[in-house]
Amino acid sequence: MPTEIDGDDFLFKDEIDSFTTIDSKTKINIFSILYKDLHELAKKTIRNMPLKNDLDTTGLLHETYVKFTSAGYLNCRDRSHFYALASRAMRRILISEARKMSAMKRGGCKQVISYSDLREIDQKLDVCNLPVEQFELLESAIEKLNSIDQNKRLCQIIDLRYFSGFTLDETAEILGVSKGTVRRDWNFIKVWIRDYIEKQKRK
Amino acid sequence: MKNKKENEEFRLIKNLYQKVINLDTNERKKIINEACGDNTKLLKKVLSLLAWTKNTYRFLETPAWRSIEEFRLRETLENESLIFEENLPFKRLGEYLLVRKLGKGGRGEVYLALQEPTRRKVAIKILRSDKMGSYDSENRFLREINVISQLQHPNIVSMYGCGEDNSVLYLVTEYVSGKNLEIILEEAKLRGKRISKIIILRWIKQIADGLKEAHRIGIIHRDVKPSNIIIDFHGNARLIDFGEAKCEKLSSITLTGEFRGTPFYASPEQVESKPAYIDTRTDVYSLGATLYRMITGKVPFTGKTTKIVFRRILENEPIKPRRLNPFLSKDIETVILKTLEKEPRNRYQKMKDFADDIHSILNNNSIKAKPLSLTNRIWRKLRRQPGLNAVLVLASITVLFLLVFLQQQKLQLKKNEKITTDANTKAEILERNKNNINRLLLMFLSAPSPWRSGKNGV
Repeated sequence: MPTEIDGDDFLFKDEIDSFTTIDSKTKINIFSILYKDLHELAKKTIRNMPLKNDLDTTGLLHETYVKFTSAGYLNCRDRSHFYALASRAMRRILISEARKMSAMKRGGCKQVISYSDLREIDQKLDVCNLPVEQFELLESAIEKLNSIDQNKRLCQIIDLRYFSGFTLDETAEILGVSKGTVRRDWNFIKVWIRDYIEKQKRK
Repeated sequence: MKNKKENEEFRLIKNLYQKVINLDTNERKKIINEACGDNTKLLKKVLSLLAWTKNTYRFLETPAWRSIEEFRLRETLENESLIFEENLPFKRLGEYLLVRKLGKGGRGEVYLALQEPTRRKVAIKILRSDKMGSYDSENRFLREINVISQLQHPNIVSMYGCGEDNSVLYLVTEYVSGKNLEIILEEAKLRGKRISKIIILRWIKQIADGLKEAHRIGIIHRDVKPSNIIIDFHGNARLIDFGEAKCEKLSSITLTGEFRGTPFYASPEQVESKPAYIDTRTDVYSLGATLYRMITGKVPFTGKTTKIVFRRILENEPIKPRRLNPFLSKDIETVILKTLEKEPRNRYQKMKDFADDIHSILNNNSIKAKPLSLTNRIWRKLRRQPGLNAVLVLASITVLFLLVFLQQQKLQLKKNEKITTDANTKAEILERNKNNINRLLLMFLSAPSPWRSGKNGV
């Protein structure tokens, strides 16, 4: 059982406290395992994945979930909660990966051709993949959102939808709200984050 | 305390945004003004969010790991381990170390190479070994170097230099790490997918921009086709291979006119081997054919042999793009068909006009090109299809003859009738005369004789 806890783990302390079905003594340890397991798994997959293979984030979460229930750490009732929590871990993992990557890029002296007008078109045209270089901005946007959104659901939606790759239906099921609500919230979050990121970029 | 205020503010923004997002502009304005009152901060924020809505449909819709995946792919390909191939004709040319073969063109071979002092990756083109020593080929190669050295545009692969080593001429250009458009199209076809229309139009617009620049300084590419376009890892299209290019300023050296290479994108004037007619509008045609292929998945004219393809390029009308891809707008179809006109004077006259129309479609503005009118279409069909034409002429002549013949028949009939009537009257008159004579004779005969009437009379 891993005993050492990183700074990262403490960020989840309040989340872990809401794990009601597990006796309080093992709570923190279980989260440690969850996070470490997931991180190892994700890192391994990301690093060793052959090119052009999809990283199946939801698959990873399912895998971890099955492992945890069969080990008796979780009751089935915790399923939703588990996914919400694990998605949050997934966000941490992916953002830290992205950060490492963009640092690598900045370190190396690569010749980057900038076509200012084409970037402009990109913006007009609704960019598809968020460049890893912007994950830091995304993270600060999510933190901001988390601090001002009272019922905290919006951040969970981002974790589930964007970082773990759940569909709208799955997200709605995990959060126990209607699909319409999730869709409306998701559309709002996207606009809000876009607005936030663009404003930060201009600063 | 501050936190609470922020929370409340955020709640207001979210509620207001979600309330008005599905309303039309006027209603939206009304409700926002009502709700905000003199709270300009709220107003500003909500308006800013609404302004972004239009451009966030796809934002964050692909999961986060895709970004990481894309980055990894880019990195790997940029740092491709440089394994030097064994069977290269040269190990080194000047300051360049040859790494591996990238491809083969009509006259040259292209290699990936490393510039030794800078460790920069470059593409080196040399004459194919079987063409080396030929005066004509070397001349052409020099011309290509001359042409490409004048070009500078983000959508055209740029030249770094050229040289000669051991009497081998070589041309050094930028190495674009990316994917050949032809391969992208083939892969999409294999997977049964279509590339998004917007992306296609963007690429075509970029190539059109590059060609616009080339045309400005008097260079015609003459071999625009998907396999001469590379999509780099920024997603931008780059035009390569100016081996067939023609430069107006340079005296065009013996243009054999014979068309080589892929026939599918050749313009009618190239097919007919009329080098004098080849100008910027030839590139318009080929780029249009490329667009046709990308958007419908098929080249405008196919055939088992080059000869058949050539005949169809000259004679047939392309199948309308909208029949092959029903999701196309009328505007795109109009633009494509205009570029594929047989007569250069019916196409876009300048690459700029084509690029402008593509730009208009991308920005949802109206295009300048007009679809053909019905009379024009019929007229064209008649002119284009000599077979049909002959049949039609034959048919009309037959009809004309028939008409004349009938008319004559009619006249003849009338004449006959007249003759008969004439004959009838004659007979009648004769009959009447005969009767009259008879009656007269009878009268005479039955008249009292003057010799016998003496007693009775006086």
